Amino acid sequence: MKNTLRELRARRGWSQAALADALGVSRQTVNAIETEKYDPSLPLAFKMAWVFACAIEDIFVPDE
Amino acid sequence: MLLFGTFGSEVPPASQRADRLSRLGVFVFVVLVAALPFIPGLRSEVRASMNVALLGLLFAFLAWQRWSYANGLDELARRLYIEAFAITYLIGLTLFAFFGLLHSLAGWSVDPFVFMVLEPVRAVILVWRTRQFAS
Repeated sequence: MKNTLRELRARRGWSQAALADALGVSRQTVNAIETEKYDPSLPLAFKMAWVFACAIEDIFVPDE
Repeated sequence: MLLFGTFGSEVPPASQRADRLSRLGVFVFVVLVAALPFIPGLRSEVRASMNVALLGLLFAFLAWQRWSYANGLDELARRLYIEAFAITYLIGLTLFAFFGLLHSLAGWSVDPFVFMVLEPVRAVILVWRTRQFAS
């Protein structure tokens, strides 16, 4: 699933490791999500939305 | 990464605890098995039975700790860890059926310890799947 995680993270000047710490996952998980190799679980997606103070739909875009 | 399903050194604390308890369990097992011959009056059949029972307890304890370990991982690492077990289980079943067929057709017997090769197979599967998600 396409996502804007990398852009959101870059806008805030966060490293992948910092975001991973905030989300309670490994840096590699964050990287796998950003490179669209892995779609997160719903709880993790909600946590991302909370961390970035936006809606889930602002982060994840369903594949057409 | 080979055995524990993490991408690198980022083993979460809960999983580290499971690892430590697993090592402690193996250590206790070795000490108990080593101490058995020194127990006076213990017949050899009883000692052999106790060895087998201790081995069973050890494997049950290690399986419980592997479960705890997996639960301590983050969601992607946990998925890959469990996936590797599932694929290895299927390979093991296939091997088991194949060796059973060999036995019934040609009378060949295979030492059960051959199945210990499944552990490195699980490690290879884990590395292979992990590399597909790592950059």
